[in-house]
Amino acid sequence: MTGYFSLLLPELILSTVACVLMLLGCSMKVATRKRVPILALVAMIVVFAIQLGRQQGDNASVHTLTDLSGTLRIFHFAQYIKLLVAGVGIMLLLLAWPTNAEGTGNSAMNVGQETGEFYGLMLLSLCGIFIVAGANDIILLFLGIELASIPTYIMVSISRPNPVAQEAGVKYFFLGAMSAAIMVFGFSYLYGTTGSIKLDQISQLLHPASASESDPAQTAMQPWVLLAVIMLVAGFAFKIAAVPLHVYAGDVYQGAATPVTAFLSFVPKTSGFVALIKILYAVGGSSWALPATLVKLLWVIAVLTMTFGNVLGLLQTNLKRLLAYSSVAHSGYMLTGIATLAGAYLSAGQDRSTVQTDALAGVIFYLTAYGIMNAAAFGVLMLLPARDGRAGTSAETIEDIAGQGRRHVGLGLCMAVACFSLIGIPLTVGFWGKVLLIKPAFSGGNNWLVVIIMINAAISAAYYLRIIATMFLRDPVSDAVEPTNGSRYPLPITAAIGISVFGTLLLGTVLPLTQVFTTGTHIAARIDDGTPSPK
Amino acid sequence: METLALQHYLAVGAILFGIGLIGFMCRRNLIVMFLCTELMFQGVAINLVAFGHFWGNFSGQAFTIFVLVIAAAEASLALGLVVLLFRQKNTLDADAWRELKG
Amino acid sequence: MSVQNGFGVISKKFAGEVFRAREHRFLQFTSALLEYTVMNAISLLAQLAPAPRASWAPVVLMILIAIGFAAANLVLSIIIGPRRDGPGKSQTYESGMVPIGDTRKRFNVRFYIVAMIFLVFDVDIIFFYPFCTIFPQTVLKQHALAGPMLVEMILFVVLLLVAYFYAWGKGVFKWD
Repeated sequence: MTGYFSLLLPELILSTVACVLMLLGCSMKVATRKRVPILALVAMIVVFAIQLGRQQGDNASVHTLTDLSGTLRIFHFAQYIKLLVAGVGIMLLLLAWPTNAEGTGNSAMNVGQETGEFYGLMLLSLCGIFIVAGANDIILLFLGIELASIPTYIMVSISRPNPVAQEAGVKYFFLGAMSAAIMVFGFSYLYGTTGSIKLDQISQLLHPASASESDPAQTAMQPWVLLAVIMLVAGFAFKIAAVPLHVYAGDVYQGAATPVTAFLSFVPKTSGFVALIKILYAVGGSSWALPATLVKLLWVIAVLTMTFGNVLGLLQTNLKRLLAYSSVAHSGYMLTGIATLAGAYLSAGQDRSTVQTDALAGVIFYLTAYGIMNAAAFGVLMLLPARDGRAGTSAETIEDIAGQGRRHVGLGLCMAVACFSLIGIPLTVGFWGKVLLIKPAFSGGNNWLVVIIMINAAISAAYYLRIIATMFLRDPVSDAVEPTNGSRYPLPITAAIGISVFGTLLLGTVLPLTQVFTTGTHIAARIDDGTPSPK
Repeated sequence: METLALQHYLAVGAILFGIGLIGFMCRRNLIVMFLCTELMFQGVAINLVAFGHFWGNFSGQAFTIFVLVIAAAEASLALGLVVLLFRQKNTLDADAWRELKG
Repeated sequence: MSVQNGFGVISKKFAGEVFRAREHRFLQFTSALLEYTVMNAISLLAQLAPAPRASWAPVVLMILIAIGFAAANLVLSIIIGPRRDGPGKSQTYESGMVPIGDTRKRFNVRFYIVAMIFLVFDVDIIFFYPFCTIFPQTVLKQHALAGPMLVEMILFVVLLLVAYFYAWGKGVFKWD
């Protein structure tokens, strides 16, 4: 009983605090509104500390933690994802910190009196990923994904008093509901073909222990299971904004307030990737024996996502839209890791398991890197003013930031670091992210994939460098409005940008620190230790 | 006369799901679009109950309950959002919302 | 012979009633006749049909007759019925009250909020059914999950209460 609740402690803390915040949201008092984000931050820090304490070293004696009925299985992978989400969650929370006098938002966001609800929903959404990471049950997995997504629909709609935000919220919600239906259709067939809803049991049923490990026939999959997995991939593709379900990304990222956009570019994406990895692990077994059809599908999705994201990014004049397509492209990079992981069973020879571990670790590391480096780009946009100083807007178009790098040198440099890291230039964490994705792709025999990643990185450099060039080389626009309310560099937002930029640079330059993280991701690449869960 | 087997239920579920998907793509009224996603969820619920009966365990039924709850949560969210939008533009045509593009 | 104080109207109405009654009696007779024939035909068919597919014949016949009866009534009332239209007659019938506005009236937006609240609480009730069927047995058998189940259900109810208090605090139940 106590073990059961201590297993769920981070989730319980987050959801309890979310409930308290919701109730505080009923209050109309300004003082309450100002206290709300502090409470949320404290909860996040406590959860982060708990997760930091739960990180297990590379110790084989540590067994999977399960609850009584085996609905939760928590091993290195889940613990690492939880730590990552808690850490990046703190940064995202700081970015959304209300800094004006009424405590309703900052210059980029205005949630009106719904401050309590906004932070409550934020915590619930983060709690959703925690559940996705620990779930061993397709019901719980589905609920976790929905818990991570449904609050974001509301957050987009209430993020600023602007019809555009509501339009974005409706578009996001309707496509999200459709993708959830597609996903749950896949889940129903996964249950139907195996008769079990537990992921570890599904894995055992599809790959009995008696079968030999390296038999290529292991990858044979019943057509109905394949249908289920393809439907699931389609459902997750929406969450990670992969082609062909990326169409919403531009509209929604542009319409939402900038802190919410930052949130959207990390949280649903992480939940999608974690769920995708868990489902592939369940249907492929511990040796990731996946059929060639599925590998081809993932390969094509990865390549299309990268290329579409980067090419569409080139055409944008709205910066949030540009960052949306850049986020699509980064999903594509991570999907190449997944494609390598899925293809290793069939293509790689003796070092198969090394390639698989490297590929999965690469994906997890890239997710970490993206979470760290992306926050700075959005944070800088939030601190730069828009030309029409409406409530809940900050710099959005490329005209808005023209010459602003000269006026605000610090912010300009932070943006430059974030953009260099997003391109993948050495001395930043983005470089190591790409290296760790390319290395297993090479050793797995996916040379074409490596070439395509390189070409895409080159394309992406064009539009990231355009941002930096606009900030520093063009003359400032004369009619730019300076934000009037609050100080110019509010501490929480500056702190988030600072953490992000320092993280990017430290992980890129201080190799021992990078080493810590790569070791951590390699440990995290072990999803399960295969101990039977209680019946 | 043959009895109803698993595949009949699955066919009904798949047809409901397909009708919902096609309706979602083709209709432009927000309420009807939302009804179509509900239709997709109900198709899945039929699948799940049929599978649960086929395997003789309760997991399918349990999943159905959760699917219904998620559908209800989304329905109430849709109601709220649609009311919000209707107040602004006095129409539920999805094509009336075209401020965001690029 | 008409009187100028509205008596004439009443007498006209009365004449209509008489006609209505006559028509009604005619229809009653026809339908009784039809029913008699049909029931005989059905029972006859049912005896005649040993084949499984033919055993559906009475049902098909029943459906055909139902459609035919409804259509006949419509057609007959168009042919036989008198037509005296007036503004009062074409009005919407609202339980004898004078109707206000048309049906395409916009409802108060509060109904939507009440519908939302109802939807959520109504669906959450279905979690109680599986709990109620399983929980007594786990208690009787002293199953290990009995305790956690109770705690979980209490947590669930507390969560519903939180939602209720939230709605209360937001003023959903105030109606003015």
